[in-house]
Amino acid sequence: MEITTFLFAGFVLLAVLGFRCLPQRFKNLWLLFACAVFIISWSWQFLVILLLLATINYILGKHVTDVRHGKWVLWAGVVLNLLALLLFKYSNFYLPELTSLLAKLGVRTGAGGIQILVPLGLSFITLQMISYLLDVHYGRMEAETGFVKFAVYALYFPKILAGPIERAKTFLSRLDTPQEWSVESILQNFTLVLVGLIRKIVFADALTAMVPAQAFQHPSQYPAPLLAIWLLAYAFALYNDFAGYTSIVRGVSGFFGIELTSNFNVPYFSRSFSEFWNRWHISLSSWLRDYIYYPLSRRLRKTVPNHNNALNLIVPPVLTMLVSGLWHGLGWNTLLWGGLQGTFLVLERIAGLWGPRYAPAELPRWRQVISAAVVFFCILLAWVPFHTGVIPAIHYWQNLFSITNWQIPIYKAYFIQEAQSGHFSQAALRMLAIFPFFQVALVLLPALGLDLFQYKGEFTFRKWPVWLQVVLLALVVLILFLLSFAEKGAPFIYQSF
Amino acid sequence: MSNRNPVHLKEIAIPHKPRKLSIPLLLLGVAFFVAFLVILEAASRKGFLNILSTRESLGNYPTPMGQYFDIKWYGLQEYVARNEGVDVILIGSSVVNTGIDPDIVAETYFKITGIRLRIYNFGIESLDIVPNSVYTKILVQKYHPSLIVFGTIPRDYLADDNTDVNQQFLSSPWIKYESGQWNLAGFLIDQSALLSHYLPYRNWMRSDFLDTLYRIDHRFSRTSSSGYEAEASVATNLDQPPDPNSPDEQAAFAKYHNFKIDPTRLSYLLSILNLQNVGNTRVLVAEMPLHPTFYDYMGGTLVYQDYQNEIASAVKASGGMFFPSNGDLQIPANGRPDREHLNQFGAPVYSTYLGTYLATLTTHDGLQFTSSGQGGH
Repeated sequence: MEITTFLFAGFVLLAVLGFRCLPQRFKNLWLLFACAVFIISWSWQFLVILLLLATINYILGKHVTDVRHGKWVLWAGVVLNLLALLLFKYSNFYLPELTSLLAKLGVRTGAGGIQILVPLGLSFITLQMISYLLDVHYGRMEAETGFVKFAVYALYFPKILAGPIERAKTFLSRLDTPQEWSVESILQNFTLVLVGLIRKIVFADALTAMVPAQAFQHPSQYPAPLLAIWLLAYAFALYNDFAGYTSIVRGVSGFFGIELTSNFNVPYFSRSFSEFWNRWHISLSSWLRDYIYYPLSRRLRKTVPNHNNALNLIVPPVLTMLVSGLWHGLGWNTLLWGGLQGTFLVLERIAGLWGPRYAPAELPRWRQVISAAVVFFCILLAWVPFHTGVIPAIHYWQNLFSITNWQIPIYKAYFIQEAQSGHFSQAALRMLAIFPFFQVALVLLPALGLDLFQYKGEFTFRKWPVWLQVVLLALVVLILFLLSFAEKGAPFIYQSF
Repeated sequence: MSNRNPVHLKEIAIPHKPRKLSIPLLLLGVAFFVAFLVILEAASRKGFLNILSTRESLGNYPTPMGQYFDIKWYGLQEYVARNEGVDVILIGSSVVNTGIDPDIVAETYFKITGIRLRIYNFGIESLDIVPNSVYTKILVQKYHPSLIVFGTIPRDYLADDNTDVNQQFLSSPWIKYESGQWNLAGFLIDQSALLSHYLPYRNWMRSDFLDTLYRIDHRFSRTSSSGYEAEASVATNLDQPPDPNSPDEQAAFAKYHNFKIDPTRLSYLLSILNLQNVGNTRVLVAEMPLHPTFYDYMGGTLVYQDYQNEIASAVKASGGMFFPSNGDLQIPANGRPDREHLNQFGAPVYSTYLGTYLATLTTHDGLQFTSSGQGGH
């Protein structure tokens, strides 16, 4: 059940109506039932695995504060969750070897070998389970006593596909006191869903479709201006895809009266790398900060108290970002991406050693603009290995920065094939050469406009005159309707992480 | 990673006196919106939108097969309007599209019988027997032709061939709507001139959008008014049998290895034949001529003959007519772009052959193929 379908809308409507009609003591049971239905719509096996994972963590949570064995229980829990992640998510790394080993032992595995499907949202759930065990163990919260409530925390369907990664303490307390319905809250949640749909369908799907799959695999076939515009398109597609998803699920969850963490806060307007990580995938960054970066920094400072020591400057950010890279996928490309992000943070900290440190907002406006441009440029380049393998990424950078590749006219191998086909006139070829720029600009400008408005406040539209809101709504409905005739867009990108 | 706290989202800033949506204002907005769409719809029905673009589409997936269907659909509409009906519709895949010139078939038939037939080629590249069977029903219900000629080849009966394209095509809203599965999108496409003017541009965001659009225009311009698209390329060395070890040939060998007629695919042939029960339409299953070396992919001439016999039996059992392509048909050496298709030199030969056969059916068996009325709209 994809969340941009009418089927999901109908399912949410039924789930919300049931939830609102039931007394408080049955609400969590109803929510768990809805979560089970949602997960089964993908696969019943997913429900079994995820319920098992939730049950084990629920039991471990009860024993993690044990004076004698608490520490062992904690580490057993952490290892178990990580093993689940390794077993399912990274199966493509060990299954071929396992299959060949079994074949050598005479065990047949069928034509396609052994197949393991990654349970829905496993990467997100494991992080939540680990943080729960750590928080209970270190006394930041009490272990949850009600299994149903805990299972809702683990399997809550609006956040199961791709987060946000909620902390147990905050989320469980919200389950106890869901916000009451009001016209204002309904409109607010409706706005969130609508903004999410715009980000996903109008911006992300369109931008994704504009980038040829070959561009990131064989970049040498394309001229640099096209590589530049497609990298920009990919960056905004990725952002709008994930931000769109988050906005939709926040709106959906809001209908139940359960607030979810906002995962994005116009990240491409960040004026420093650390600000970027406070605005991009906020729930993951804060998880990494609280459970890896801070503990690691504290441990290192016990060994080397000097804040400006190279060890303290380099190790925590680099290691944290490498873990972030590995969480996104077990590959050299994601490691390279994480390494680059860590390096940016280290360089920023080193630059801060010479002179007083200012918050970005305290800098003069011109420095804010330059800083934002530099940060955006670096982040943009780092998306290349995030999207493709290490070797194609290097080729992409090489072609992007090759002066000869910026020649005008920009016909290259991409257009030679078209010209040779003899189907197109010279005018048509010229149009083909410039069309991608129009195409990307047509979506990028409104996407930037939306970001600019949301920079002023997430619900800034609600302050506009009502007639303008109505016109805007009608326009959005029309655009969504027209786009529904295009060939279907890809599923949410972060759903695969 | 920063030590500072995350920058929190700005607090939701709702005005002190929140403006409330008033129902009359909302209704007024809806009314303006509807009026705007009605004006645009009227303008497109009156042809004013043709100033901007004359392209039209039914929005079928996938690209570009959906657009190939558009070329033939709107082409047939124009043909019927110009000729006040259609007698014979040729259906099938690309082998029919480039393999039969309706004008030559009609001319041959006219020379022998003195009767002028109105023939349209509705062969569409990449659409095999599965979608053929579905849209043929739509064509028969809409245009009531006297004869459907279904040009077929062994590929039509491969179990797993082209399944993604077929599935996507058949899930298109308009196709579903026309097949009796009511849906809003299909209904709107069918009814709205405005939407049909928008749909050629529906994939404007795709990286291959403009390339595809130009290619479709090019295909449209080289398709004759009777739906025939001449293929210019000529294959050489076709007389040499395909080499199973050649990388270029391995896919074809793998595809036809252990060739058997898939019963499900055969049922689609029967559903085409069942259209004989709708009105006065007859169905002729015509075997499109393959190059003799093509049989090597299937395992030799004997396998091919088994296939031919099985199809012939199925057609005859359903009361249809089967027209094999072997015997005295002589496609010239330069008449093919590959082992399956015919080109602009081969198509006239086969078209004459088919026209002669149709004439024989009229002169010897007394079958008439002229439709009395105009195609229905």
